Amino acid sequence: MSAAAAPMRLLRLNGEPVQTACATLAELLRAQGYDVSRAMACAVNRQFVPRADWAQRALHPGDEIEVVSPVVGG
Amino acid sequence: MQLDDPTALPQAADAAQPDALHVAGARLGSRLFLGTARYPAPSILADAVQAAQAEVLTVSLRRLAPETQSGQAWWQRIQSLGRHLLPNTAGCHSASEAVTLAQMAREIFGTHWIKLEVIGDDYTLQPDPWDTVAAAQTLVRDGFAVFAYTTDDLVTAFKLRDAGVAAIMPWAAPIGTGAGPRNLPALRTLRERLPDSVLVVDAGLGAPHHAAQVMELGFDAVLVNTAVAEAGDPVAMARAFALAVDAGRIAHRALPMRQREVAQASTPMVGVPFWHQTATA
Repeated sequence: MSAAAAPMRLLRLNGEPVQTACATLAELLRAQGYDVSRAMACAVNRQFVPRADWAQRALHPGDEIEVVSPVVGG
Repeated sequence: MQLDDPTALPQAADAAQPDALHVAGARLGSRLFLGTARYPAPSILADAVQAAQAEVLTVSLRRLAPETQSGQAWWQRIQSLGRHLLPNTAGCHSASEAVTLAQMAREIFGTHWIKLEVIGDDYTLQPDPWDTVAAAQTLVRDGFAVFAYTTDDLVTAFKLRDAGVAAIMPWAAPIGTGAGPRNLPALRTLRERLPDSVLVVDAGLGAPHHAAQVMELGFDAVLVNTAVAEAGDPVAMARAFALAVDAGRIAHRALPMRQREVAQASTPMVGVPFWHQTATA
C-alpha cells in the first residue's frame, strides 16, 4: 500500500491535532521529525509505551500521544 | 573522658561529623538534595552542585517538540556530574498521570527513584493526599522507590509509610515561597510519630537557618531548589545550605537542651561575690 493510499488518522500529539497516515508510533515520530536517538519517552492515551514497543504500537484515530524529554526540575 | 586520652579523641571527632543517610538502597554522604531548576546558567548549576556536595539532584520531564534541538547539552552535563537523579512528577494532577510519568521517567533516566508529586490545588501547589497515596501504592508495587511529596499531615504520612515509600517528604511551606517552616509543631510530631521513616523536608525553605532548624528536629535530609538558584550567588548559597544541613544534623545527634520558660543562670551561683552585701550606692 502506498503512503498516499493509507488511511488518514486524526491524532493529538502533545495536545496538538495531527493528521497522519502513519500506522505506528515509530513511524509517526520519524514523520514528525523527531530525532529518536535523543533522551525521550512516549505515552499513548496516558499509558506508557516503552521505547522497545514504539515500532509495534499501532495508532488509531483519536489517539493522544505524549512525547517528553528531560528538563530541569525541583 | 580525659582530653589527653588519645583513644578518646577520634571518637569525639566522629561524633562531630554528619553521618551517612541510607535511603532507597543508597548510602548518601550528603543530606542536602538539590533541585536543578531556575539557575542563571547550566555552569552555575554545576558549580552549585559541587559547592553543596549534593549527591541527589531532582529533574523532570516536559513535552518535547520535534524541532527542539536544545536541552541535550544540559542533560549531558547533568549526567556527567554522576549524581543520583530523582525525577519528579511535577505538574501531575491525578494518580494515573503521576504513575505514567513515573514510568516514562524510569525509562529515560534509568532509575527507579521517583519524587512523587500530585498537586491538588494550583494556587498553593498543595499536594493531593488521596491521589498521592494511591499513586504511591501503585508505584511501590511496580518496583519504584517512591519519595513522596506531601504536606505535614500526620495521617497522610502514616498512609505513605504503610504504602512502603522510600521517603516521606513533607513541605515546610508552599513550593517556591521561601517562607521557612510554617508549622514546626507539626513537623516535630511527624518526626516523633514516624521514628523509623526517612523524612525529607521538601519545599518552602528559604534560608540556611530554615534547613538547620528542621535538621535539628531530626529530619533526615532537606531538598532545596529556589532558595539556592535564585540567590544572588547560587554557588555560595549552595555551600551555606550544605554547612547548615551538616550543623543541624550534628546538633540533632548532640541532643539539644530542653527549652525552659524562665531564666536559669549558666554561671555557677556558689561563691558569687558580694552575696548578701547590702547595696550602699
